[in-house]
Amino acid sequence: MFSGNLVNIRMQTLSDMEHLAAFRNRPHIMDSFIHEMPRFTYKEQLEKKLKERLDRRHGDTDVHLTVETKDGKVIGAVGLDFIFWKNGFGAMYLYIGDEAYIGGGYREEALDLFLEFAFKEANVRKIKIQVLADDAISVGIYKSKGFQVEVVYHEEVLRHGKYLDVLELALLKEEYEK
Amino acid sequence: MFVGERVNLRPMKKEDIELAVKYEADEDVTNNYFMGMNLFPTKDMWEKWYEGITKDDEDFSFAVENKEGLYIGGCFTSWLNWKNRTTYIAVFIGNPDYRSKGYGTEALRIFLGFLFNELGLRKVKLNVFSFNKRAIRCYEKCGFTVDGINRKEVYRNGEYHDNLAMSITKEAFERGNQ
Repeated sequence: MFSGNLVNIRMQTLSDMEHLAAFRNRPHIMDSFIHEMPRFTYKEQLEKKLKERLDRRHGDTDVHLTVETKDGKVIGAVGLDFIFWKNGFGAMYLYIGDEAYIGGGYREEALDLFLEFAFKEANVRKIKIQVLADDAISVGIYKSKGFQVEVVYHEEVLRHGKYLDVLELALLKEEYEK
Repeated sequence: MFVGERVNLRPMKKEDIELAVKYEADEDVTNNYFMGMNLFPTKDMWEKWYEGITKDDEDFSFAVENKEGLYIGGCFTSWLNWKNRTTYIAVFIGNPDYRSKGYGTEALRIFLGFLFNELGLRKVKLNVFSFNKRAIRCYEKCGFTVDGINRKEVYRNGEYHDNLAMSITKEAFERGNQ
């Protein structure tokens, strides 16, 4: 477990899935989807995926962790959706699903813990993330941790009747260590 | 079948596999093409892939042939996104006698015409390794522009290399055809 002052990030359990499914159906999370269809998530789907992961061992190409408060309340999730081990990079996501914990530094601390996990434990050498270009708060958080914009995908994703730009940001291990 | 002046796009055939295996046993193809480990694909792998495309109703995989019907390469979509109306593509000319002579460029133009005018896509994206100057020239000739550079993203011959993100919109494609 990677433990901070406000949050911990830890392995997921089947009992988390009900919370994570509910989070993924909230408007602020569905609005942040990029390539995914805006479909509702059912806890049974997440439980099934977790059970499949429980059957695997080493060599995983993804990792999914729960973000919880210090008293164990599930508030979000963080992970690498896709790790390309040969080339050493992974595509991350991070969300705080419980609106009561948006702001206040929960997301920033979860990100700090996750970067520590990814670079010092999982041993990836590059982390990528895509965010909507008009999501200034997210862009600001990642830039403040040293992420650099690598790609601007113009008019990439349909949201509320308009095509929005998407930024791809990335942090290399050597930049993280500076 | 989609017909051009010097090449056609047609379905892959099982009989093409022998040539495909030969073409992809050439580092001039695979060094520039494979994000994964650079090992020449076997006949078994191609047969499995072929079986997959005969059942695929999401992505499009075409063979490129010359006017005598000789299989010389292929073009493919991946991550086709109907909601955002975008796709990634890949194109390769495997037969060395048909490289750097405009066959790939013509195949790509026919393929783009299909993606924009038959499928109704808005934008077509691709990634190309920064050292693959021949391919970059071809994409620029067709109207692709660089959206950004994924730094140190592919490990090849003992070093990390950049990967360019390029795209073309339907409008840019139509301007190029005027």
